[in-house]
Amino acid sequence: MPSRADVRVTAAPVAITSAMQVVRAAGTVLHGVGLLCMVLLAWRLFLPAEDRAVSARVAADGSLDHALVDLLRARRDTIDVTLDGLPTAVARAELRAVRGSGHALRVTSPRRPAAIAVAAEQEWKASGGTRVQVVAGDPGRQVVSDAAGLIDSIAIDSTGLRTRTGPVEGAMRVGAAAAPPLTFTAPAVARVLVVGAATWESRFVIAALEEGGWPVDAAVSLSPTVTVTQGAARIPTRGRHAIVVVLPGAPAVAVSALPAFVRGGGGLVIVGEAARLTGVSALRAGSPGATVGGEAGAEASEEPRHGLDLVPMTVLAEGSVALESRDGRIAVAARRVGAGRVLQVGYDNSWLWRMGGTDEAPAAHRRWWSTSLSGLVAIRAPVSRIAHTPEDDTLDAAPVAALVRDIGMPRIGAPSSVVTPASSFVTSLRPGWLLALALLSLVASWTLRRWRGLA
Amino acid sequence: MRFTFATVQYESGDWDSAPLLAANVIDAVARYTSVDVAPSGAIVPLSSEALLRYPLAFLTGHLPVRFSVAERAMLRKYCDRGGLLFVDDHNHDVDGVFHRTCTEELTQTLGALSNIPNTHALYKSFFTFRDGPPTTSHELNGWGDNLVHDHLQGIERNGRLAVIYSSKDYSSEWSFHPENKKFLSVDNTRFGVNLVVYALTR
Repeated sequence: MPSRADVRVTAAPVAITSAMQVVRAAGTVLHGVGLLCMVLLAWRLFLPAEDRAVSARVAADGSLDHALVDLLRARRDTIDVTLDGLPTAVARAELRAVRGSGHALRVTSPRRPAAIAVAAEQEWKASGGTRVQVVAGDPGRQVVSDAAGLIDSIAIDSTGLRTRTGPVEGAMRVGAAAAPPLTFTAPAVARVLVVGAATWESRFVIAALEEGGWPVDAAVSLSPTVTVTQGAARIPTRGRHAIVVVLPGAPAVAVSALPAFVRGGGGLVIVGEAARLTGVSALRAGSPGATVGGEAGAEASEEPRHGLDLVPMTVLAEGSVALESRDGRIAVAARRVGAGRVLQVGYDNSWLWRMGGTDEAPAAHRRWWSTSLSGLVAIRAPVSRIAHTPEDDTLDAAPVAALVRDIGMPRIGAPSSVVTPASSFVTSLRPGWLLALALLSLVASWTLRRWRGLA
Repeated sequence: MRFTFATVQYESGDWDSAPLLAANVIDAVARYTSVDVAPSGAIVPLSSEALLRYPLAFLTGHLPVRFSVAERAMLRKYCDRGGLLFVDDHNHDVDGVFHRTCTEELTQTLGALSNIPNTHALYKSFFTFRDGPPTTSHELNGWGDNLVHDHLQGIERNGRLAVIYSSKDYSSEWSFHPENKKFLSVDNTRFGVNLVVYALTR
């Protein structure tokens, strides 16, 4: 019979042996997992190209034959899209989203798209200008013209062309082979109506806008019975004006016409104390608070608007967005009212910035006013359209040009066979995750082996 | 910010030769319009940055005018930024020393003067003056020996008048106490209202 001392000696090796067996088993499992991940990774990487891609088709009516969510869940490297027809705006947006999610998009068309397509839209700049986008089935040099005559000749390659030109008169044509142009009315450069009292602010706002290229009408109140006008109209009308700038002391007759003007799609700038006018109370972006004086001499500093008097907005109207603040007070805010847009500028006497600022002040003052107004101009796009087919004309004026812009020029080739985007187990695995798991497992297995050896 | 009529003080000559003119123009502006006008004018040195706070300024005198370097620089800055300087020859003398020296200084600083057409908006900005600048009693009966100046002259910046130069001697014509307007059948300061309204609106 063994003594008690003998029993204690034999108990320890039994426990160690048992722990070693557990560690060995864990190491084996980890090693196996690592090898399995490596195999899956190799399988995933060396899948035939057709298994790594999914095909979709744009039907003749322009719709995508797969739901967007299916394409996104397919987790394939590439999505082949065959165009049986020109994708609609919705289908283009879906394809753009697919590409944005990291998939490569291959667009193939069995035939060339329209011989030529052009979309032109007005630029926001007061000086006019037209953004032109042209796609031609046959690349080469084309002549651009409008109702007033030849504009330019442009070289169009297989990816199309984006360019800018001045204001376009009448319909725009690109090349002789273009489809008949749709008639359109060339929009005049946005005309501004400035209404206010005879003050230096009125004078210098008008000057800044005119120097910035805006055509300006003005109605400046001089006495209860006398209003000095510049241009034809003293009351805002949608037919003539795109934007109204309302300054303190604006004639009542002009102010009373503002609600209808804005709700009908016009832009409105409310300046400083003008926010207290009764006629603009339903339009303003925020309630005007007590006027805060400007910091003396700051108009000649890096922050010139700190030198101006400020009528801050205390409570913003529903849907208003604060655009600029000064010392925690809202200085500029904007909102939509009906179809129109309203910008409320709390700064008063901005002319002091132009007159008393740094050498850059006159240009900066001009630029600030121009930029402020440009956000209010409703872009009427497109202004010139040459449609692929008559039925394409409505909301989707130049689908070929838009297709090239959104997802690139399609390759011309035979349509690929459609592959259902249902995902298999292997294609749904992410190579990156597989590699990481394999490495972790193998390193852990190696570490356990080393530890057993040391023990 | 209310309108303040500013008289320019320059180092040479007699800038203060028409002391009652400012009050008279202010009275006319207040009388005919609802422009928020300061009841008294300001006197601003031509070389001072303070000039930039008065986008309409009046300059007159009888004596030769020679601007200093600082005055020239400030005048150029003032006009480039949108200021309007109204200069009147208090001599009403085409070849007088003020006319010769002042036009020389203006030309050297800002460019050549040219006639302002009598159909200009200046003559219709409030009252209508169909024949251009109204004549003054000094032109018809004074030292000018019935020499009437048909036009005012001007210098433009960015398509706007930056300088209006007059040889008509409005400095004498308007330099009387406003109370005395009651003796006039037609208020002769009406063109002063046009000048102020033009500056405030164009």
